[in-house]
Amino acid sequence: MDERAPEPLLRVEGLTQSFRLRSAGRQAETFAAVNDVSLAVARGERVGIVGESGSGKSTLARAIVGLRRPDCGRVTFDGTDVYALGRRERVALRCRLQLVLQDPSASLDPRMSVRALVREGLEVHGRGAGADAAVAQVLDQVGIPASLHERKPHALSGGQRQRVALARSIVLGPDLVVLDEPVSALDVSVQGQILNLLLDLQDAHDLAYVFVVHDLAVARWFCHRVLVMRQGRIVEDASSEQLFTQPQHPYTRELLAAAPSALGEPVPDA
Amino acid sequence: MTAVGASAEAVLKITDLSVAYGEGPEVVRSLDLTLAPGERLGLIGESGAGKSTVGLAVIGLLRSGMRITSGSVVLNGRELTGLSERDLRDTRGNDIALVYQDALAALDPVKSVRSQLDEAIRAHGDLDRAQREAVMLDAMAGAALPVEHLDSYPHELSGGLRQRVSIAMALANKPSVLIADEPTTALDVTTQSRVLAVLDELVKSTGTALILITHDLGVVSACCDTTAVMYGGRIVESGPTQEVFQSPRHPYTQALVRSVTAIGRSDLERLPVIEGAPPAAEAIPSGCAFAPRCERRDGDPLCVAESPTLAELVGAPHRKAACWHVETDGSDG
Repeated sequence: MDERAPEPLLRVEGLTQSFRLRSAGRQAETFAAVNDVSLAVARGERVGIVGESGSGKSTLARAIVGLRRPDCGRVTFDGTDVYALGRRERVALRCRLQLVLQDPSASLDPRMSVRALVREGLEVHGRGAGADAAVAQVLDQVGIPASLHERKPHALSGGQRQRVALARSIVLGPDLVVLDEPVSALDVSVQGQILNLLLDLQDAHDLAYVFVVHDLAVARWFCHRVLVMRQGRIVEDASSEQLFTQPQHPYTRELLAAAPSALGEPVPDA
Repeated sequence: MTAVGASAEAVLKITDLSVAYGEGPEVVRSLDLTLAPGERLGLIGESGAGKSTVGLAVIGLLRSGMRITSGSVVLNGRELTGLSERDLRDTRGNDIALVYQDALAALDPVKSVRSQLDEAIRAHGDLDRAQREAVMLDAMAGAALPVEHLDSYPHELSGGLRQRVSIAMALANKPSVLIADEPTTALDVTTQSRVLAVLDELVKSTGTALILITHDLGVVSACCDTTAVMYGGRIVESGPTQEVFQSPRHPYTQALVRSVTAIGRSDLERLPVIEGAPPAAEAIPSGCAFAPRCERRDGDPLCVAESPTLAELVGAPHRKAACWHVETDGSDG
């Protein structure tokens, strides 16, 4: 076994997730939001998932982290079949498999302080004792100064809220973080700060990322490899370099052609 | 006041416009903006910069509590500030129209496309049924809306089609100015490029001047002749789009362009960033609003003491910047 290629950190095989549409009296129709998707993510890898709204990106992201049992297919994380686990083991596995959402103001409890929010996950997983040092350390890593530790989410800027959401995930010590549009709601000048922070956190904690993103420029810059989704299927899976310079699938070409080019000619550094 | 330029034939001229929330601080501050007929102007900025407030103030639709505290808005030679709601309503739709980001919220959910378009046309002219039908079909063709959707309801249409319905409604009466506030932000890229093409074509064929409000530099770069960059309630830089993006002069524009172009470079280990965050509308610092994040300031006390005015660049009078460290005709010495 040791002589073979290393097992990827995450392996998804033939994953299908359907939703029932309203039935008009007769046979209920179903809609496959994710249709027979297979992918693999290596340790330390940054894999982007791009596609338009309704292409199944977010449904896939939720299935990967164990939040919604797929209709068929298998999700294997570090050799363990995620959906074959009992509830308790699956909850325990979540420490190593985290999800960060686009809009932190919806995912952060408005009544809790920054410190309590970051602590909460540790307590849920029975690691609350002596957690203060870990909380302080991770908040420092994400660039939240001590003066903000007692603030409530509403008293933070959008960028600061996303830093807190990242801290909540990182403090649990994950191997893989699934990021669902983590910078889309942020101002242009703040997006870069968060992307840089994601790279710093990856270096410090040896993370792999699955990055759901609609912004192709961000995907190209950030990801080693990019998957293009359309109507629930992966139509192209290639390294960023290859996907953006030699797109193979007609849909990928259409997407690239439609994206407004950054700003024409590159601007020399001032 | 040095700005003259094309003001003689300007279709819209905003002078010294300030907008405040109640008795609170101003969210738009002493803003000057001139729009020539048929000009496509991109108004860009981050959240809280005041760009949407400018659009709403111009068209007289500020949300309750917001008010114009000073300045003038002249459309086709007519002063709009201080007009009665009745006169304003006549102007809106006829001479100036607005397209919102969220077409679903702007359209009436219980009326068909036909009846909403008809309503928009009827509100601004004494046309008989046949004439209105002709205007309607014309507007739909202009917005690349297939006639088969005439009897559809908004919820039956895709996001891109909905936005084209609101564009058709806005342009049905051939206004001289159209304000489009993030018209494609909620749309997918392929839909976005189609809607922008429709908008572009329509503006060209009707001669309507466009103010495109957006945070997306790529969109402005693709379809605007001129660009004005807002920060902290003021315009900090303006000029022909390509010149502004190719050789930005204000430190904020420079940093913004640098961060957007950097993302297109795969050789960078980290992105150049602007530290901090844009100020909230109710907490804009005095002096230059960008000073706390500015790299060029270098401790100059003038930057925090006094707000620089938007003035013509030395040697490039068609461009303007508001910075104490950029050589303009407005700076002393």
